[in-house]
Amino acid sequence: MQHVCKSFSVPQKGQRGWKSLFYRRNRHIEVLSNISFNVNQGEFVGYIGPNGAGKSTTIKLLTGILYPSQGSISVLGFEPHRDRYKYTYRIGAVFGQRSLLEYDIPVMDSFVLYKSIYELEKQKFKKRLHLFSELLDLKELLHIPVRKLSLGQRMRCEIAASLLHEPQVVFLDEPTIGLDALAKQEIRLFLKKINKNEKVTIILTTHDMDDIEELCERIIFINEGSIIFDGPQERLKSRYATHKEVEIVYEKSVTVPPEFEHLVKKIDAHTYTFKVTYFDAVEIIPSLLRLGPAKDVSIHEQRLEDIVKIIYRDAAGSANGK
Amino acid sequence: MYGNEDYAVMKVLAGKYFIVFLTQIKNLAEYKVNITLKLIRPLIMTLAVGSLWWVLFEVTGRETIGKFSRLSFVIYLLTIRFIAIFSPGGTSITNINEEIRTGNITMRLVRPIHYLLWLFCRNLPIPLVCGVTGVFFVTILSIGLGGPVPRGWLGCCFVFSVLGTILIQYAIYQGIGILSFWIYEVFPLERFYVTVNRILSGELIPLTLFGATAQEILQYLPFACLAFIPGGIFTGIFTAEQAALLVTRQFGWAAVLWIAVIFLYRKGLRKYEAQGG
Repeated sequence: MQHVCKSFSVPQKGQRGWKSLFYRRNRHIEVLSNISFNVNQGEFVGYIGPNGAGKSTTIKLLTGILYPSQGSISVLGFEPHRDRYKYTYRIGAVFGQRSLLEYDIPVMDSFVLYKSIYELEKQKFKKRLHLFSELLDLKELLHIPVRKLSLGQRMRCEIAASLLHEPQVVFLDEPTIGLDALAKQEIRLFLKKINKNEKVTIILTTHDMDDIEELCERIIFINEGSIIFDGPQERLKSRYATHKEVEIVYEKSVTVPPEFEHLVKKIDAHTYTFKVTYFDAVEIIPSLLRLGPAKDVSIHEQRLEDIVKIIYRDAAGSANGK
Repeated sequence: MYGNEDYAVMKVLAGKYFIVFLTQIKNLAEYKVNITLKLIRPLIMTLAVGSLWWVLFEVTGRETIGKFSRLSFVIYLLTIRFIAIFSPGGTSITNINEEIRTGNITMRLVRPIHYLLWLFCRNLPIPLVCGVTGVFFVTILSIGLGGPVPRGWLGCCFVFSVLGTILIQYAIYQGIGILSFWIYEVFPLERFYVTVNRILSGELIPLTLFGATAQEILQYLPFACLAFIPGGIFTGIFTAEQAALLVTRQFGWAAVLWIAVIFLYRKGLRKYEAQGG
């Protein structure tokens, strides 16, 4: 994507008179402004941001559903919105809140339908179906009408249907929304395998930071239509993480000197939890270990979810301050 | 005309949409009540409209009104009622409107399918099954009662005429649905169309009963193609030559309307905004 902008027109309310029957005044809202990024083959990219940031709009532009107002998009050598028909043979897309399976018929019939739509050869279809049945445990579900599946079961089938044709790039828009922890884990494992074994490029948007933390090496963070971070997950953490938690299990109770008192978060028997600032950790930890003989030490990085919350809060704060 | 490769591509494409059609046929089992009601409704409608005309025949004491005898009138009404079943109807507009409004069209656009063709193949099966059953029923009934049944060339024209009607109906209904790209509420437009169509298509009053000038104008509008032309061909009020000309006109209208629908769809897609996840 290079310098992509996208604006939507929203009708203005309160127009009256005969003229308003035939002509509506619209105002334009810029949803994406000057978005540029490149993704290499086989990358697993997390595309995150708060509600209304422009994540889904980006995915719709990348899948060719929407036309960009400005800028250029090229995926696999295609201009998605211009070559949509041919392009869609090479991509897969899952929108967590929408279904591509036929509601009233068994899952298998939907798969057969997609076999024809993607013009898959019989052998290839069988092979893919077998693979997905194993990886996503679909065997029992294939002959059940879609309407009778649970959300988790349906989502497994949706993901399989969107990957049947061996796409080179897959767009996942909140694929784990509403799923329980086990179902989420199954889907994450599957995506990891597909990304690793088939070198499929995956772009994932989600609000579930566990998905991102577990799957994506690279994160693109978007807010109010602009990219505010693009880089490895580790860099995001080191840039925005504020502290680490150091848990030390001492052999017996220790006295915490006044200069460290403000760092104590919790004392549970001989286990002391200290909250130290991200960059001071290296200097402070040896001093904490000298407070008494220690049996065990563990250092917990701040979770991505907490870091993202901080960024959201900052973004909201700066927006309010505008 | 076509090379082997072109033929293979065409075969695959035809297969793709045929599977869409077949998948929908599989859905038929889920819609047994819908199908039964669809088949009963024309009989009730014919009874309602037919009884009014029966009274008219009784009151005037005439044997024929506007080229129609009592029997051919009943057969005409039944035929056009069953032909009307071929129309995708308001459900198709609801589906398109919902897909555009809710953003579910997204799921169609990320697949290698032509949305309009897909809609056509998806909406056709139930009307087709009901319509063919209905027309078959009318044919048997008409033979049983000694009424008119198109044979030879006229029979052939009737089949093509029904095909023309289907193409026009789908173009109109899908066109109204696609207006949802611009208008949130397309249903008043559908109701307006249905009302106008009832009057101008010959569904309630055969066009032969209109004044000469009105007849002249109405025969050139697409509405006549939806009831009066196929109904008239079935009941034998046209000669084979007239029927062939009218069927050609139907296909002309079908082509014009489909070009308009494709144009509207492409414009709509450019305008489509699909905000939100």
